Amino acid sequence: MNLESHARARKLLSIDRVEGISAEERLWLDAHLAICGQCSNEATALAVAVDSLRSVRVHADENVVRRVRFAVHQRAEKLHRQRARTVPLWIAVVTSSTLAILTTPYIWSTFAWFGRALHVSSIVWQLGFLVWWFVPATVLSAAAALRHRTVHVADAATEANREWL
Amino acid sequence: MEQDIAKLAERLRNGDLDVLDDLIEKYQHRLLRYLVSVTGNRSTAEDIFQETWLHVLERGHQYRAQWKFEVWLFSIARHLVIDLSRRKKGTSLDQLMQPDEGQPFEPHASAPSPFEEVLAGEETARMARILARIPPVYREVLALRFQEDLALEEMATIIKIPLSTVKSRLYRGLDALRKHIEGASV
Repeated sequence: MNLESHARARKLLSIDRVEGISAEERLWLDAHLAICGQCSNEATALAVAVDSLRSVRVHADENVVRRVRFAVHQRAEKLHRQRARTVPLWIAVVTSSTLAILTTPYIWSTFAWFGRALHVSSIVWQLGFLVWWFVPATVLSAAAALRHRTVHVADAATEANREWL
Repeated sequence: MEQDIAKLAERLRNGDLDVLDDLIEKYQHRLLRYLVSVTGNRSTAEDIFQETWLHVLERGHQYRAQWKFEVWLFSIARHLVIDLSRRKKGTSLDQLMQPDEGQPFEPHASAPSPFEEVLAGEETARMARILARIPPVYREVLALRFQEDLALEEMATIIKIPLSTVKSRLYRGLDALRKHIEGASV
């Protein structure tokens, strides 16, 4: 036995634990360990180290797990409420967008007709059309944003109360 | 098995609370053990433990059936540990993963049973002292490999490092562990 074979044996011991070794390498290693006390001790030390690591027990405390479950259920409820609020909003957006696309040419023609009937310049009825188009959307968006903020504040207050309780 | 995972993915996408309860039940100890290994601190680990399950709920739709659930779960947990270290200004991941003085590596929990505690408590405490001396980056790979029995590729996915780095960390970690165990028994 020379230094090289000891070094090879130690290297194979580690490789075996990390990547695994071939059958041929295992045969060589087993034969070496059978006659080399020093490397055999190394193998035992490594086995003890790995077994000790596997022996570490970490158990989640029941109260912690209960608290986590409660938090998960609460968050799920909150997400559900948020989704429930979003669905009507999306329906409204899709409906109003579709209606807007379908009716724009008719409204434009109506404004043009009124413009001609009232003898006003085209810039005036076109501005009227823009106001008709943008003002309701702007007002509704502002109202939706305000409502969202109110609900958000109410949610935060509810959460705070729950935590306090 | 594949069908089970496909079902799990679908139920997670739908935010099914029953499946989440089952998953918490099944993976509670493994996840906490991994987090304790990474952070070296039980209290921090328990906080991130909760955050991890909330993320599983919120990001359940991102889970894909081809992924092993625990790999995805540990990836989320690790990501949250990194997030926490970023939030704590001036604290690097390594610092966060190092046990503070006076707050040693604490794998102890409320004991599973008095009998088990008698059998395993002493050995666990001894290992806790040894593991506290091993750098966290090595402690993490040792835990994933020898406690969670994950494949090298799965470990690389969780830690987001090349396979070669996983291997070199494992070799160094094993070497450090062996030396510390030998040192402790002298």
